[in-house]
Parts: sequence; C-alpha cells; structure tokens
Amino acid sequence: MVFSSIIFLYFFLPLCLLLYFLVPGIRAKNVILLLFSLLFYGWGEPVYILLMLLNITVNYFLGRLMEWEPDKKKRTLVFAVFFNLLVLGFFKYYGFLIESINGLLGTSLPVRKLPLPIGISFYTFQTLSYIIDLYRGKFKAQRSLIRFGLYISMYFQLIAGPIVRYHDVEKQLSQREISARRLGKGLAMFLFGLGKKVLIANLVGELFDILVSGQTQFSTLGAWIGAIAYTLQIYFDFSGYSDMAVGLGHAFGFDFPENFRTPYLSSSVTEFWRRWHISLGTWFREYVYIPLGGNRGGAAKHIRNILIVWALTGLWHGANWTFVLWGLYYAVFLLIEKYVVKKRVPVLGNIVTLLIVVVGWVLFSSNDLAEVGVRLSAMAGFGALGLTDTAALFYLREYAVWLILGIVLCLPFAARLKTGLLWKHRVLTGLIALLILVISTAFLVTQNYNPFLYFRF
Amino acid sequence: MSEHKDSKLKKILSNAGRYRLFGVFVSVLLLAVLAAHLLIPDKHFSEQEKRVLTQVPALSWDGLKSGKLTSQAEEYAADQFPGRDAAMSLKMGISHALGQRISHGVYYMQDDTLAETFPDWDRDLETRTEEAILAFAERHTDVPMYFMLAPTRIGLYEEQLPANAPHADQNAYIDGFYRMIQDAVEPVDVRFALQAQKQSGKEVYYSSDHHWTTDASYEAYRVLAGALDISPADYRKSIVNNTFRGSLIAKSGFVLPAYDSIAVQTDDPKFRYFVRRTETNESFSSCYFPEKLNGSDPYEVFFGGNFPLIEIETTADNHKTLLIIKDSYANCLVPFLLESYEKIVLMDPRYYAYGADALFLTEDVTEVLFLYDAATLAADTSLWRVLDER
Repeated sequence: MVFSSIIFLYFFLPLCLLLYFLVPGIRAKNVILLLFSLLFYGWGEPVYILLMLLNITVNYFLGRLMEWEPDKKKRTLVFAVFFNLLVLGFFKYYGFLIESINGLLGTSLPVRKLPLPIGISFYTFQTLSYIIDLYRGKFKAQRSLIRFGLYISMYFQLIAGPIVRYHDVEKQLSQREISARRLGKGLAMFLFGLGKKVLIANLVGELFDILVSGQTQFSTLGAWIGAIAYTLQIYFDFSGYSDMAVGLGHAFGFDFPENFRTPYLSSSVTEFWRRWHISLGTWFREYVYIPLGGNRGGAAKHIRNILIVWALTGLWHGANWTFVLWGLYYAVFLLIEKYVVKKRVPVLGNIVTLLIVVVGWVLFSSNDLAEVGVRLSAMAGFGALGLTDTAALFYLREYAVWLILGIVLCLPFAARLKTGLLWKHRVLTGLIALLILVISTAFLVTQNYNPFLYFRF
Repeated sequence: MSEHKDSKLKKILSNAGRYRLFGVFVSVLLLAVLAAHLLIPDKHFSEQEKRVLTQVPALSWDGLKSGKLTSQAEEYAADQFPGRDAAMSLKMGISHALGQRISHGVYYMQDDTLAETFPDWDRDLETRTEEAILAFAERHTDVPMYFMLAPTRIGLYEEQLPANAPHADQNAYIDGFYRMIQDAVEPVDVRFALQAQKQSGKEVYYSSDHHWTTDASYEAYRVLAGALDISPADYRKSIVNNTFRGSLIAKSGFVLPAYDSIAVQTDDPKFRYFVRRTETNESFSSCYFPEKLNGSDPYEVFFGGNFPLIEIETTADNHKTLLIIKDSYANCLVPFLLESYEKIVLMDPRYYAYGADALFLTEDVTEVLFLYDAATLAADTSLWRVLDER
C-alpha cells in the first residue's frame, strides 16, 4: 500500500486513527499500530508478512541473547549482521549477482527473480542500527516483542524512511505524548507531503516518462527537460514521502528525524549530501565510514573509505551497475572537494553543484550506460533530434505550470514558508492543507499513474 | 458564565487549539468519507466514464495469495469513491485551466472540440492490409470494388491542433494507402467534399465524439453515389438528439462548452426494408434504434451498434447486392444507400470470425465497398485476417 492512494487515505488511515485513539493505554495502542503495520506491509505480497515476522522474532531474540550471554556478544553480533545482510542480499542482490557472474565468466547460471519485499533496504538498516548500537552498549535490549516489532515494522517509515535509529525512538515506544494537538500538526505535515507527491512528483514524473522512458533519440531541449523533470520528481517524491512519514509519526506520538533540508540549494556536493536523505548518510557514517577508520590514518585510507562507502551507497539504491557508478561518481566529487578545490564560492558553487546533481540523476534514471551516453551527449548539444523537437516543445508547455511550481518550491523562501506556516499561521496552514487534501483526492481518484519511485529500494 | 465561554473559545482559537481543532476535523472528515463510502450503494456503471466499475472483491485464499485481492480492493476504493464524478470533473477542470491540452490520446483543439490523436502508424501492418486487399480483389475480378477512407478530425482540422502537438500526417497516410490499392480497388476520396463542408461552416465531426456527423456522411455519400453510378437520395434530415456527449469526453475527461446533436436520414414511409442480424437472427423493420439515444453511446442509434454481420433486404428489386466491409463510420451513411440496392450486407471485420470469401458462395455480391476512417484502419489488425481467411 502507498500513502498516496484512496484506499490508504479513506479506509486504512481513518480506521487506524479511530482504533488508535479509542483503545486505552499505550500497550493497546502499540498493538493496534503493530497490527496495522503488518497489514500495510503484507498488502502487496501477503506471504512476506511471514518474512517480517521471522525478521522481528530472530532479531528480538538475538538482542536478548546479547544480554543473556555477554561474553559471546561479539559472536552474536557477527551472526546477526550476517543474517540480516543475507536476507537483504538474497531478495535484493541475488539476481544481480548471478547476472554479473554470468556476464563476467560467460556462464549461464539460472536467475530467479523474486518480488522485492517492500522497504527491505530501509528496515534492514533499522534492524542493523539496533543490533550494532546494542552491541556498543548504547541501550538495553528491548524486552517487549510488541514494541520491538513496532520499531521494525512501523508503517509510517517502513517503505521509504527516514531510517530511524533505535535510540531515537526508544523512549517513545513505551511513553509518548498522544494528543489532539500533535494529531493536528502531524496531519498538516502529512498533507503537505501528500501534495508534494501527488501534485508535483507524479505530474513531472509523467513528463519524464513521456520525454525519456522508452525513447532512444533526444533533442537537446528534450534531454534537458527530461533531466530537470526527473530532478524535481525524485526530490518531491522522496521528500514528500518523508514528510508524510514524519507527519504521521508526529500524529501518533513519535518524533522522527528530518530527512531533507532544501538539498538543491547546496553550494557544494559535500553539503548536498548533508541535506539529501540525511538519515541514510547518517547511517553509513555511523555504521560503515567511522568503523572503517573515517578520515584517520592518512589520505590513502581516507580515499579507500570514501570509495567503499559510496560504492555501497550506490548499491543500496538499486541492484545495478549504474547505481554503483552513480555512488562512485559522488565519491569522486567529494574527494575533489576534500583535497583539490577546498574553497567554497557561493553562487558559482550552487550552480556547479546543481549541475553535478542533475547529471547524477541522469546516471541514476538510465537503464544502462548506453542510455547515459545518449542522454548526456544530447544535453551537451549533440542530440539526434537537433536542438529542439516538437514533442519536447509541446510537453514543455503542457507541464509548464507543474515544472514552475516544483522549481519555485525548491527555492529558499519555500523552506521558510513551510516552517513559518507550521509554527505561526495555523489557520492558513489548516486551510491550505485541506485544499491540498481535496485536490490531491481529485487527482488520485483519476490517476492511474501512481508508482512510488522508492519502491524498488 | 459568558466569561468562561469566552476563555473556552479563546483556547480553541489559540495556536495550540487550532491544531487540536484541525486534527479532530480532518479525522472526522476522513471517517465521514469512509462512512459515506460504506453507506452509499455501489454503482455498477459509470455514465461519465462509460465503463463498468470495480465491485467489492470476493474474498478468496487464492486471490489473497496472488495479490489480486488487494489490488482489486484498491481499484474498488477508487472506483466507488463517493463523489468520484465530481472529483474527476474537478481534476480535469484544474488541469485544463492550467494548460492541459492532451488527455489519454485526445487533443483539446483550439476551436473547443476534441480530436483523437493520429500516431505514427505501423508500416508493416499497412503493407499487410494493402496486400490482403489486392489479393482479395484479384480473386473477385468480376466484382467492382471501392474504398472510402474517411479522414478524422485531426486530418481535416490540423490547423486547430495545439501548437507543436505531436501527430503523424494523416493525409499522407490516406494518399499512400490509395496509391497502393488503386490498381485493383477504386478509391472514393471524400476529402474535397468534406473540406468544402468545413469551409461552409457546417459541422463535419461531432465536437465530443470520434465519428463524423450525418451531414458529413451525406456529403461523402454524394461522392460515393457518383462512383457507384447511382442517383443520390435527398437528405431528409431530422435531429433526434440535442444533448449528445460523445466517446471522446468519456475517454479524455475534458469538459466541452456545448452539446452535440445527432441527425438521421428519415425513413421514407413508402419504402420498406428489413434489417437482420445474422448472428442472432433478429429482424427489425428499421435501421434506427431510438432507445439507444438514452444509453451510454447514443451513436448506437444507427443499427443498434456494431455487429459481425447485418443483412438488409429492401424492396428495390434491382438484383444488386452491395457488400460493405466497414467500421462504425459507415453506420450513419448506409441509410442513404438503402433505396439503391436490393440487398446490402454489412460486415464488421472487428467482430466477424469467418472469411470474407465465403460470403461470395451464399450471396450474389455485385459490388464491394470498403468504408473506414483513417484512424481505425491505421491500427486495424482484423481486416487483413478476414480477407486472408479462406
């Protein structure tokens, strides 16, 4: 199930709200949330509820085991990490691995493609943060299976993050403020996120599909509009989803970390990655980069660590070599900023960074390297269709309003507007949020096009 | 007392209070929609979209396992959403106001009409169809054959398309098609006649439907009469529907400022004929079905819609039998032809499961007319099958 669907907005959510606020006591509320989370998770592939239950139970007991047998703590940790990565690897990377082996060795091992359990990349990372931090002694193991299950499977951020570390929500699992005030603010945040997804991401996504998906030839204009449309689509899709998750969490009494802070306004690539998908960056930093040694131990080791982290970050985004390349592409720019161009020039830096990011999304959204080459050379002025083509001109006008709206909402004032609205002008906030709900509903009722980009991760 | 009330009101309207109010209001709103959804009886058919709506999915273990149940439940929730029609109108109203000019392959033209797009056509399919026609004509050299390929709105009103609208050149398609078949089949090119009608300010097409008007089909018929060497009937026009909203509205969701009206060629009371659907062996004494005017597709007033094979026997008594291999563009034109033939056989290859040759064994076909619109023919995979089948 996805948030931006009629069935979620008008069946799942009201029923969940009703029961959640009706039942007394935090334990019963947790049970309700867990049940709804499992229903949400199993919606697309019911059999995977078993996978989720297995994942919860195994990791719960591994956590307890660390406390029962402190001297075998390390062995338990290694096993737990191995187990979780194995499950992730089997479902997400098995086909990719076999295909890569076949490609390298010329073998023809059979490839079995399993449907990807939704959110597996996200909840596996959450589970690992629990296990690793538990090993590090940051907190005690969760004693309640219900609370632990809720932490792993909570439907707000199950599908597309933010990746919540256990110690961020540990207290809230057993004690949190549940109030109408939080409900109102959380729902307002949720509706703003819904608008980002339904009224911008989906529409510029249509434009990207028309101009790029399935096309083999491009004009310079068409390739640029396609790239810009995707740049907007992925930001509004992903940050809209994160806003919805944070908003729902808030409504139900949880505080999740912020995942995006106007990333396209960054003046360097380093800054971009501090403002884009913050919870993923934090995760890799805490559980991979620093354990590898970080920037201690000389330049050679530092470069090695950066390359490892970014190859993995790329691979996390999808089981394909284009994603690995995309990760390494960023590693190169991060290293250049670290060792070569250390000076930050405000406006020029912003423009160069944005250009690097847009080209990065071309890598990210292409199916193979040949497509990357064709699209980039068209953007550089060597398109097979010349500088412009009628389809690009037509659809540019067709979607102009949504493109402009998207661009405007990436500007600094939009960020100030959002926080200003949420904190100061609450009547206006409420009215805008309701308007977004009505219009989004109208678009969702009609929309057959509604896939979440981050579903395959 | 009143002071107490005031402070209560103040509390509600305070910043914290406003969120409280908003949270409760939105929750109640969502629950109210849910309740309305459950209380309002489900609809079977959507008039606005002209399609059957998804019903409550049946619970089954297999459906659950395969994921069909849940995807059907999602469709059900969207299809039976209370106020779905209003929501769709709102969506299209906003989109159109903000500049949308294409929806599901339908253009909103500059003159406030709707036109189906004409995409670049499949050349292999075109060749296959042309070869099938040539071979068919070769097998029946004693029977004269004619081909009327009518342009659709996009071919005749190209200048009304939105700027830069991607589309293929329909006139080039028609020209190329005629050129390939003209040695064996006589082209009946109606484009000049329709152009003249357009110039005179008359409606050639319904603004909301992909068909041509009966007025236009009469002009085409006059050209055809010349080719068939029959004396053209007079146009006894009568308007049977003033509130026609055609298929392109349903397909695109666009809202148009005006209604269309449907005209028919009134039957001559002195002239009798019978219409028989061979598949079901039903007979009728008219080619008009007025009850269809209130149905989901009022254009079905002509012959009740499309059927595999329809035989019309008249009192013309001239031993002439015309076989018309056609799509729905023919339906409003055929009534003009009735008085010139003793028998007319209408075959719609999209629904006809047998070969065209077999008809020559049972019918004494004296002429063959192919009547298609360019958009249908360019994408049609049934004509060559029917002609090749032996």
